[in-house]
Amino acid sequence: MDTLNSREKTLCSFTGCSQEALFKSARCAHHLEDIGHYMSMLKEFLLSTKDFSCLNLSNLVFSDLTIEGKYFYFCNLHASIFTNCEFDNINFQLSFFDSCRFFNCRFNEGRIGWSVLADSLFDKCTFSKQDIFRSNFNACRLKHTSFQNSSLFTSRFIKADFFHSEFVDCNLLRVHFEYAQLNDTLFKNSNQEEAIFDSERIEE
Amino acid sequence: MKLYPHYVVVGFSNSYLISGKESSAAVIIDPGRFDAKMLSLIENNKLKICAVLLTNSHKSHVSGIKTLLKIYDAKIYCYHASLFGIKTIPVRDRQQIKCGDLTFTVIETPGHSTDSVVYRLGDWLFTGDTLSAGLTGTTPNLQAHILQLKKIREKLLPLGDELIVFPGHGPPTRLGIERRYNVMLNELCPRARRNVSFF
Repeated sequence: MDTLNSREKTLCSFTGCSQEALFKSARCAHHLEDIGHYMSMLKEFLLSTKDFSCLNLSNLVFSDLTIEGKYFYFCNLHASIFTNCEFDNINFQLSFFDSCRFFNCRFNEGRIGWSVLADSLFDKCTFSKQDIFRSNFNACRLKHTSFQNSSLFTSRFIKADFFHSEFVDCNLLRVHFEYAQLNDTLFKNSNQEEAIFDSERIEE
Repeated sequence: MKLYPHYVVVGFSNSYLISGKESSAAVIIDPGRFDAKMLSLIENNKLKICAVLLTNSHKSHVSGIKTLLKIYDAKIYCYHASLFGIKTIPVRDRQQIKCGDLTFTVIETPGHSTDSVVYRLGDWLFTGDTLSAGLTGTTPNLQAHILQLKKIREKLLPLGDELIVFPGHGPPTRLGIERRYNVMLNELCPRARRNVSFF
């Protein structure tokens, strides 16, 4: 069970902009004056702090970032881009990664709970020993992406588009794949018979 | 505000415990089961349950009420005036429910059931079975399905893409994501056809 504190929203100070300001900034990502300086400050903060809650980090670009043993809580990373990032033992709870793009990223031995990753792109990504619970991957595009030895209990991949991806040794109990395009996608040693595909009707 | 989402084994549903910023007053939405985990959460945080809000009266949303009422003296809000012989406070469209510094607004969305309602609290929508990530609620017939779609399109989608949807089943989502990708909203798709008993 997790707690969510509602974020106090501060709007971007740029005239006419209605976007929410970034964490520790008066402006949104589109109107930052020195994005390079902001990203190095942010990287330092991410590496030196353990728990993060209610941060707005939307529309940013993260590359070659390796973080370990952190706890993210109701953080908004909407439409951010992650390239060559490694997340080791990271606990994401109630976090929003909708419309993000992940390239060559690895999620190892962490947790993703009650989170929204819908409408995101995962290209050459790996989820290994992840405990993914009640998370939303609807309308995602997953290319050459692998879920290994992970639980995805009651998560949803409705209308997701898989291409050369795989689920190996995964718990797929009550995972929704309705309207998903499963092109060359492998289910190996996983209980896909307990997942929900197009042909079933759920009584809820 | 603080929100404690809680996974309920009955019907794989969600309960939500919400407390205010300034006071210990708290609200429970859809107690599908009132278990030890929920109890300890309330007690450990020294919360006072002042209201229980029901999004509909199906089993997976209400089974915990009797147990809850043995412990807490909470008001029950739902569409009907009584439930299992328990007197409730009926809610109607646009009604406001206040509990401490929390103010919920009722949005009637019949379709999944005649008593389906959604509760809005700031940027959060508690949609029960009306709308969940990628799906809409099952309905008893085609007319009810069409009515549900109409209510979602007219009353929920215009509220803004950024709103966070906390459904009665499954993971959270954003209203904008549902507007763009929820196949049930975009057409009378095959799943929607199976979703009604008419076919």
